[in-house]
Amino acid sequence: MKILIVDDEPHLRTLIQQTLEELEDEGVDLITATNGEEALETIRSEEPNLVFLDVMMPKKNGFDVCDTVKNELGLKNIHIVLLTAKGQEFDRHRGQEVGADMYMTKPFDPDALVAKARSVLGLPA
Amino acid sequence: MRDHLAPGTCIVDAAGKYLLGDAAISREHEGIPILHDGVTLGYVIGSPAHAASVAQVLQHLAARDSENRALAAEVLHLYREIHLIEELSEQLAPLLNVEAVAHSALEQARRLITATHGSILVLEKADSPLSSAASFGETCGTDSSQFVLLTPASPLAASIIGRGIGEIVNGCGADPRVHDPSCVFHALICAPLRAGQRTVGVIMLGSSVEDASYSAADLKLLNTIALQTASAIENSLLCTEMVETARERTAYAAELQAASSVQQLLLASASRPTPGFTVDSVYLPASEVGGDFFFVSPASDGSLTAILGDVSGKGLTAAMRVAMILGALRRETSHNPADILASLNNVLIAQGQLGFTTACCVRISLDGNFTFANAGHIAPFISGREIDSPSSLPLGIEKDQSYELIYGTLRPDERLVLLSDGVPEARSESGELFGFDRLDPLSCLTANEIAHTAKLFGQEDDITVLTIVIGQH
Repeated sequence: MKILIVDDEPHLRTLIQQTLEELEDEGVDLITATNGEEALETIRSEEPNLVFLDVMMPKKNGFDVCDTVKNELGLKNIHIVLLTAKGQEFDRHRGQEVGADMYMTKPFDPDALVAKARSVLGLPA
Repeated sequence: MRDHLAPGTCIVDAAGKYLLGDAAISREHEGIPILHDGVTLGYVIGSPAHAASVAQVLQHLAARDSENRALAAEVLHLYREIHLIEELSEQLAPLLNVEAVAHSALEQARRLITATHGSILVLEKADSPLSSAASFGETCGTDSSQFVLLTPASPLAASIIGRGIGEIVNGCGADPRVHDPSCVFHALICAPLRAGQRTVGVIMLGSSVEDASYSAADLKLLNTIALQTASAIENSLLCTEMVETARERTAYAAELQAASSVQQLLLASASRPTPGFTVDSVYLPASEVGGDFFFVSPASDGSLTAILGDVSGKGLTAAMRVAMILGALRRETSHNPADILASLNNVLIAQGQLGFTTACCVRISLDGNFTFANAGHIAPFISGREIDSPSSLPLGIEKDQSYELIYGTLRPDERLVLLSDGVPEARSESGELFGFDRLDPLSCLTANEIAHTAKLFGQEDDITVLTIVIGQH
């Protein structure tokens, strides 16, 4: 089982990694990508079960990455959670259009993030 | 790191498991330990000088990583706190009842901080006693006094509110404020509910579990919950106060409405049939109930007695006084204006009335001859001029006053006008008074015209006008 964390902010990646690291003991690999293009390459090669994907990123934004994964590559079984900054208007319609499974706002609730990952990966709460 | 390791060097973890470097070298002899915070993370095996340098670099990296992790843990803790505040404020915002707010806050506190018992005590007003708004935790046996620590009688609660800061009491027996003879509680944690500068109550959690204790982190969390709860409780108290005020206003408005109806009935019955005269009266109270009054009474000799007056004060108090005056006038047997005023004066004095009443009383015969007496009121008008009358004290100020009788004659083509000070004291939007100068020409008009002219000019007080003309028109 793999979780991909995609964010151009290194601190945010660290925070999400640290939040989810309790899952490593249960056999979950945490992998990271620093921008949209790198995320797509990693998704193609690693096929993670769950992706926490930042919306605002250089090169390719989160919507475009999600669109490619879900609609072009047809990897609909990959669960994608879009991460959007608090106060930043989130385009729900666009999120639905590109096939995102849900969205969360940053600063995220660490407990909610872990609960989401456990639920998607079928791990006990 | 791989590129910088010299041949013949490798890194193993604390258990000796190979991690990096030359896998072929013997790992039987101990290498240089990689230490962090007194813990051996692993070893660098190889030439001692090179291994020592690598171990030092790894120790430095481990320290930095540890710092980053500590920082991240702190940020995640703040994230949790932000979400706790958001969640709690979302939960509490729609609640307008103090008990519901307290119950919800206590549930949240119980979810986050281990406790067997808890309570929220509220001060509805700064000088009111503490009251319990919510609590949890079973009382054991019949002696509920053992839980006095979490009740409004708690000395600890009073101390927290007095000092305005939260507190942890681990090992309850040692604190004199926590007299707990049955030793139910092993630890208590309390935080004041502060909304702005005011303390609206206290939130208290306790644990009866042996060796239980609370930490500074627990207190920080409880303070965060207390902050949100205090604002919500303050809002609920304000809301309750507003609802009560609105309810009181509605009740008062209903009372005023009832008083207004009674007053209208009383004044309507104050005008009896007046054969041989045409009497017109207009009464326009400035609010629901007024302080003006008039009374018209025909005598057996065909003459007519009319009195118009104004009591000081407003609202229900003034209305009650008007009702009392009308009652006294109904019982009055004299038709002499001076006697009527003197008698009314003594009635008001006997009632111990606060304030005063001005009045002008007229008795007019069918032949047009009239007498009048005045107690501090505007004198009557005839044909556009005010009739001179000596000044005198209003009623209700000094006992046994006498009032001078003034004589005059009303011709058949003239109109005698009595009015209240609401007419000359009408005030326009720009602040201009209607004044006495305008009264002379105005007094030539009908009662209805006089009253409505003043009202249109800008009514500020009750307006009452009564006119008498000889003959039936």
